Amino acid sequence: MLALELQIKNGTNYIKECNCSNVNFQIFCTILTRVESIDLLIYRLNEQDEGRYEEDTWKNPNSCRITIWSDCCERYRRYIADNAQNGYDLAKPAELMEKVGKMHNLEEIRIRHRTIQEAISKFLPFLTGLTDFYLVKRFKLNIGDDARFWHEHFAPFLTNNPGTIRRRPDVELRDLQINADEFFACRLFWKGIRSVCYINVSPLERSDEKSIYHGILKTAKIVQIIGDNLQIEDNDLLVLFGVTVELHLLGQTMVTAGGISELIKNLYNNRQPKNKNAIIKSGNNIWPEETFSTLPYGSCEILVKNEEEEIEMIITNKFNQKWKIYAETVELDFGMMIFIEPYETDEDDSNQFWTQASNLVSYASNAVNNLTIMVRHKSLGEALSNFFQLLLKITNFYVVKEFILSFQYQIEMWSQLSPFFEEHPLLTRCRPSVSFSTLTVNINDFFDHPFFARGLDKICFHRINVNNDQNDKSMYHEIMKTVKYVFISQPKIPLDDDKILSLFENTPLLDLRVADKITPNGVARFVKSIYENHQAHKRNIRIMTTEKLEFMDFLSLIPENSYETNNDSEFKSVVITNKFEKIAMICNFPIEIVEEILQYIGIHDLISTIKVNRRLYSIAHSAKSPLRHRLVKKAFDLKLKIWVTPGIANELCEFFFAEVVQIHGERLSANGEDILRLFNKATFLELRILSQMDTDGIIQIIQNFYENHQGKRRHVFIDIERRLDYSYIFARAPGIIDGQQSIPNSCVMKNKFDEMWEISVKQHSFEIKSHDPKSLQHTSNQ
Amino acid sequence: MAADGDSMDRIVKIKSKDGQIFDVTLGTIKKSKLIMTMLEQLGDSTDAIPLPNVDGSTLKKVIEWLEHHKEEPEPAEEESDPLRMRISTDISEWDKTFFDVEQSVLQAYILAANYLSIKPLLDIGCKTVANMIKGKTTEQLRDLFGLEDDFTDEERAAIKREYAWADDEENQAAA
Repeated sequence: MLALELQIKNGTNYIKECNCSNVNFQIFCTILTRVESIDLLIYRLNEQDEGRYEEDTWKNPNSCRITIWSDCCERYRRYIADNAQNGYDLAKPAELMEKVGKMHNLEEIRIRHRTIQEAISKFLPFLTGLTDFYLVKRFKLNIGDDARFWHEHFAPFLTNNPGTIRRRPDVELRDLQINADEFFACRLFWKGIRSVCYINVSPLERSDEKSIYHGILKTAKIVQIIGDNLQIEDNDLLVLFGVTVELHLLGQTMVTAGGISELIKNLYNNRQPKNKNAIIKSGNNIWPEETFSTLPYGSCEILVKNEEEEIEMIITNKFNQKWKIYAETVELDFGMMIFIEPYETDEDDSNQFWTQASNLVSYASNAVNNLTIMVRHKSLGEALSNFFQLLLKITNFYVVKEFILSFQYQIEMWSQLSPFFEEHPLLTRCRPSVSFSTLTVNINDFFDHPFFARGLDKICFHRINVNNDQNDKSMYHEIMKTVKYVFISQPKIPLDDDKILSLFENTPLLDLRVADKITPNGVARFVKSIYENHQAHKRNIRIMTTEKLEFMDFLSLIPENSYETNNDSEFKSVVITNKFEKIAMICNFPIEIVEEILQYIGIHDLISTIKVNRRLYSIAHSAKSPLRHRLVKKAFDLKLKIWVTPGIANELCEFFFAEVVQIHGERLSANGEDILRLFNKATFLELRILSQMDTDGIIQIIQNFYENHQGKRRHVFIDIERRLDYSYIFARAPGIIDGQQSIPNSCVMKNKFDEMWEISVKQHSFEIKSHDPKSLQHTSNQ
Repeated sequence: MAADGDSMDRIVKIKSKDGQIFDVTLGTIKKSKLIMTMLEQLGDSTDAIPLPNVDGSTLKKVIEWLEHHKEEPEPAEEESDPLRMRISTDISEWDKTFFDVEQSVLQAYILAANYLSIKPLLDIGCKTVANMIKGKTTEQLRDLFGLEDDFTDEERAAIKREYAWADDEENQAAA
């Protein structure tokens, strides 16, 4: 038996799988009923209020629903024939009125006809008569598969009798190709439509794709579009559906997070109708995460965000309207199965599948879980033909995430599948998986097929022979090096130590049962490989051998300090730490390198980085960290006046080199060293902001002035949080000239270059400025 | 040590942690202050200089980098200003390719540059890491560098408050 297993997943939709055999087929198909119906809701006027009616006529006890329908399905035709006595003739309006009067609210009257033509021919006169007595409050037009009856009968009638239906109609179109201009030209639609529902509706001509978006869609309060035939794109969302009250777009592969983002921004910026509701499902990830960061703080509240990709948020828009936004990933199982059971011919029900294939999309889009469609075929050829068409059709709508070819007992079916996959090697972008079970296969021929040129995702061998010889090593093809998951279950796996290491050195998931040729030394070499090489991803490896293995057998080639054994529990275990255990790069650098790296990044990146963990936070906040002054930048920014010297760009960091700096604010965490580094070129520095600098910091600044040639006038004034002791400072500052104090708490310092500086220390401020400008000129001339 | 043309052709042997010995010219290795200091101390000895903190594969790549950059002059004096130097994170295409390696290897290069005191190599390594950091959120950085969030809830809340001023959204709201 050959089983083809196909799993298709596009984020919101999930389709699974297909099995085939070449013996007999029995295909079960859930056949969509192809009912064409015209629904009318009619309301009788209250005699006392003739000419008037209440707004909420749904509550009117005299209302009823009349459904006139016919069914084209062969099976249903028989049903009608069996009940031929029940109403081929449509009741006359007067009779119907009498009947309606005895009915309960909204009870349906169904009148069956053999064909749609028959129904229409009787319905139209009835409709004329009915509207003489009743006011039609709601008119729903439902057309599926074939719109001829509409174009031939209904549209001309309504155009010629404009007073018949005065309400904006509801329109539901299904499995149709239409020319929208022609369709909506009927006078019925002149006032617009109340709601529209498209299920797998496509334009009549492919080149006419956008014409389906007739402007009339903008008039509908309720829009439901299922299927991707119309290729709705991001730009269409706002243009067509910006004011739609209820919007359902399902199975849209062209809609992206960008389009949803614009919708959300529109939701935020504009007053919305009270009952607005939108459901959009796309093949893409459409959650516009970044959009929320652009909305003002406080306008978004996350209610739910979990590992199942379920997100729920509340947005409060500018008009204080609250909107709930919800996103989730829905997985649907959906499949076609073909069995090898005896096939009994049933002409009526056979081979319905392909004619309904387009409905696969609508099923999936409607979130029907675990739906299985079983389709009968008359022959293998027919089944394969339909299967290939189905694959092509499905891959138009869905992104194939997993593709499994499964062969059991025989592989002959591959010769019939092979040409198709050769013709469509890129049918799936994912790498295929292959499973062989209990059969004989020529592996080299099989994997040379272009369909496997990109490698494999998974491979599974169970009791297979190569050229009827289980010991033939050629079954272990080089393609196995590309596989993420290898499962081999054989009585014997004839792979030796070298082969296993070369094939599976990097395989993430490996399960070998039973590798009888591998020796303890082979296992030890495998372990050594794991020890010596950086493992970029999680790995899970199981190798069952025929020889009994002790821990020390496979630990023999790695250093003793690289593993720890645990004999306490029932099962012995060992934990091996390989050479690359510590890959947390940035945290393994010495502090000075971390500081060096962080000095290259901007303030926002710096803050993001130090929030990573405690070590980075501590490094940035240590007393000697050169980053510390940047992390209080906001305090600088409170009131920062900077006059940038000519020729220096006014960039973020450039103010450190400004000639004149005035900073006003609350607190400044910079110490003496920081201030010297940051403002060593400032001619005028005024820090009217309480600095945390201490007495030693002041002395440091004075020493700097003493040690270095200044060559120009400078004036530094700093407000200091801590109380200062001028006598202590003056006693330790170099170059103080005794007896030259001009005012209390002040003194004059003469530096190494004979420049004179006046120093003033008050309780909470420090000031140093040039005392004798001539001394500066003198030294600079020197 | 003199640095004339002849002496720059002198072959120096250096030995990695795992015992590999490399022959390099003095002109190539001169950017390593550690090796130049050791050479001064060893005098005319022809013994291989042991570098116990650098493995063979890393040392080989470091020599490749030095060979490529050996004609380049030392950084200009003005770049010694610690603030000026860090403004630019531009890296040449050759160096970008050189550092386009796994994180563990990049880390080995940077640590080797630090140990060997090859400042230009260390600077480019740091710039490479800085460029990796730029524009990423805290969570993305944790993913990138394989780091765990070891803050307590209280610490996390305190840090959030501490840096609320740098939050764009709040700034916008305040504006």
